[in-house]
Amino acid sequence: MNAARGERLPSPPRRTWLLIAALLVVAVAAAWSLQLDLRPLWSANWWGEAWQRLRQFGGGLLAPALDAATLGRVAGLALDTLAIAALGAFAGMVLALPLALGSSRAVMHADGARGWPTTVVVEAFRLLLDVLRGVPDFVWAVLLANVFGVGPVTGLLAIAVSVAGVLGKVLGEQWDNLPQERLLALRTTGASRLAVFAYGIAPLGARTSLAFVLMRFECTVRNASVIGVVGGGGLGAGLWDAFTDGDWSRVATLLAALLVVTAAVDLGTNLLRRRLRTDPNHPQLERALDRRAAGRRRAQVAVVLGLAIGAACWRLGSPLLQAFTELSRIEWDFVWPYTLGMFTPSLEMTTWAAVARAALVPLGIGVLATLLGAGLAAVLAPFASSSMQLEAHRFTGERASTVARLARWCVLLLARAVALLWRGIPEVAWLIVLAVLLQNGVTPCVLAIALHSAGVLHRVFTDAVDDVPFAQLERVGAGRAATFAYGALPSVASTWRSYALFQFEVNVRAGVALGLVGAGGLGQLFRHNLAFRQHADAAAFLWGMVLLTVVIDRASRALQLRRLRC
Amino acid sequence: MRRPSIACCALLCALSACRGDSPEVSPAAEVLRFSVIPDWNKGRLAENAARLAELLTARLGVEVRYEPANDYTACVNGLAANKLDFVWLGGKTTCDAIDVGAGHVHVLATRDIDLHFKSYFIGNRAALDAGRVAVVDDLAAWRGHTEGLRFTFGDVNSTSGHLMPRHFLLQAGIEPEQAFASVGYAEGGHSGTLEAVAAGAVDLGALNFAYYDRADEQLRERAPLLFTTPEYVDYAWVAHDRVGADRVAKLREVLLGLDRAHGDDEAAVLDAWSAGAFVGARDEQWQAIRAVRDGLPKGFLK
Repeated sequence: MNAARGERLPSPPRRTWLLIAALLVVAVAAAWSLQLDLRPLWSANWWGEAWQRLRQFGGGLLAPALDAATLGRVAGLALDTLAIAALGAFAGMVLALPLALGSSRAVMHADGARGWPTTVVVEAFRLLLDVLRGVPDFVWAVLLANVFGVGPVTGLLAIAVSVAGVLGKVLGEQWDNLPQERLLALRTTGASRLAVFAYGIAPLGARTSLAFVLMRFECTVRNASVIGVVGGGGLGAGLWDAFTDGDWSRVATLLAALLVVTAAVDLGTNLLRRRLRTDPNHPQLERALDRRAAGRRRAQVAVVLGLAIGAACWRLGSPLLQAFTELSRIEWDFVWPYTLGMFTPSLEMTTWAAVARAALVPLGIGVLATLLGAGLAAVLAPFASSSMQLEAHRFTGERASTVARLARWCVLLLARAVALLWRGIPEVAWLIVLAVLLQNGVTPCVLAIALHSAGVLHRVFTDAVDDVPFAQLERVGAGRAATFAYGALPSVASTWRSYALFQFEVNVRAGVALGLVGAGGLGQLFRHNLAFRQHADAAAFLWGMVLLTVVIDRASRALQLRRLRC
Repeated sequence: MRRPSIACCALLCALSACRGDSPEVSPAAEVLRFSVIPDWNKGRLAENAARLAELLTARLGVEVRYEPANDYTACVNGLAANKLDFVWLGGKTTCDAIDVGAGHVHVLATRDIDLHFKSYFIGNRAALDAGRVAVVDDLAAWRGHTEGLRFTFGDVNSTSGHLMPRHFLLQAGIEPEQAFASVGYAEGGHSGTLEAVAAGAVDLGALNFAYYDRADEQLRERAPLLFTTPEYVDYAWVAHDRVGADRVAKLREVLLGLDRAHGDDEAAVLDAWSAGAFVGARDEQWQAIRAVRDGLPKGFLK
């Protein structure tokens, strides 16, 4: 099929080159707006200093503290993290459900009501979701700590709020994207909105919803592992304390614990994800519709979930009890004006000019980190793809020797392990590791977010490659490399782009969050204005964060760049 | 319609039960909660605070509990929101707490050294040897020689790490954001500043003199002292008057009475706070700090 390749060559490459040129321009603009100074990297002096720092602190990182007292404390913090994640995710889901129902056109218009009141309600719900989602969990933690103090309760509430924001939005959109004609039969029976949802929308969307909820849970564990950096308890609290105290061996122990927790959840959810994925190359036998088996499975899931929630409540029992008994004593005369102040931002031009300037920092960080992360993920994808490494014989017709097959297995496992490491360590934790080498500033923040998002993107990128039907790859009629380039890449490009754009929004928020711990920009100025009790200005920076998320979201939706959602 | 109304009744009952639980008679009020601003190695701060909590619990006959804090602002807000009863604050945050407390928050005590507090400007050893930074008697001597230098304050809320150093720089005609190549705010309090300067992550930094004087000899060797600021008033214990006048008086009595001669437990607390003794003080003594806080050009917040 060389002819096909010959035909294809002229058009895609020009568009590809244009795209690459455009991305380069964007990257340069971002770097310029961040005033990214890479010149030191060219001086031998800088490398000498970096080596010095590495020798100074790296030793500690390579020799984790393993005494019983430290290990005991770290294990306790790890349990706290899991409990925060479980309760945060659960509370977030409970919150997300009504929000998703309210923000979904498919649900709200299900009974045929198309008047403006419904539209207003839908838009109001969407705005609320934008606020919950646009403000990063780190910022929620800073705000909630005023009422709930430092500790796991603040962490789990911050996480619940941001989970509700993301989950509510995505579930609502997933329901809106369902083929509406499949609900027609139900509608003609005159079913109410809730009935249409319960018997039509929910079952139809169950698979995609479940896949996304699982992915979110995994993210929640990662977020819970670092929420302590801003007062949310768990591993993050210990990690940040050890880091700011310069105790590198304790940092190493905590990083290891963090990686164990996130990797375990990652691999665990992988098993479940595999069952939810529709893989054209390995069609699973549709399990016969056995109501009793399905009921049993549901009961099992409910029991496991119930046990997890129960264990988490037990683990965090005393801080939860303390936080909520103290609620009755809170001086609301202080808290209410403070909270309301966050809804009345300053309208001064100078403030909003500063907000716009400050927004460039997370935006620039997001652009560079996403480009870098997507690039890394793309480079790694063919090496981790089971199609390309393990089943190439099914479309290239080659016969690999045992040694070659063994080597490919090794390459695949190595690539996947690298990606697991990249995404298993959250951005802030990468920042701590990179601070040893790069000092503080914007550069390590970009790299930290890039590495983490490379790991996250890598998995979905690889899944997309593995989802390309062998029949299509066979048509290229070439070796592995060429098949990947001319068979797989063109068909996964749009999927990759969608995921990368979704990650871009996430990365911009990560840029805001890292601002709280030294990256500058929106996050830092928000915190500094709170410190100097300039509440109207602090509120402006807070709403700047929401606006930033909304603008990115609406722009990518208007440009129809994000056709699919996880 | 019946079930919702029952639920409403239950909710109302629950709410009224909550309302009936007035703060004064709540048993939880029998615990005094305190915190300290996280201006240094948090592990050590927690040890110090635990020592004090133990001593106060024994002397006051009421449980005194230490609540860890993650940032300075949360300490001030915790006091106002009734999450904390008394707090160890810096000069700026003391003023903040008094202002936010609207007449209910007052200074309880301070340390002898806080009435004559000062900040140090320190520089990286290599930068000093290379002649990029210099030891000076007057900050104005730095004017015009700051190009390309990376500077770090401590926490934005810190009096000795940010407020006063910024104030003295401005007095010397040095506008930090204009003069230096970069201006940062070190994480991890004054120990963060010291580490950053010693490691060469920045060329210059400003910090609390008391912590520097106590710091590890090797660290100080790598981050030598360049300039000492004039004196000002800094840290204080502040309490909210919900603690009760009697108990505030008792608390003050215990704090002011601490003496190394009285035994190891009291000596340990004074050592932990690097204090010769705690001394009485009046809110008005922080007026000068308040004036600096309010008079500072707020360009760095935009």
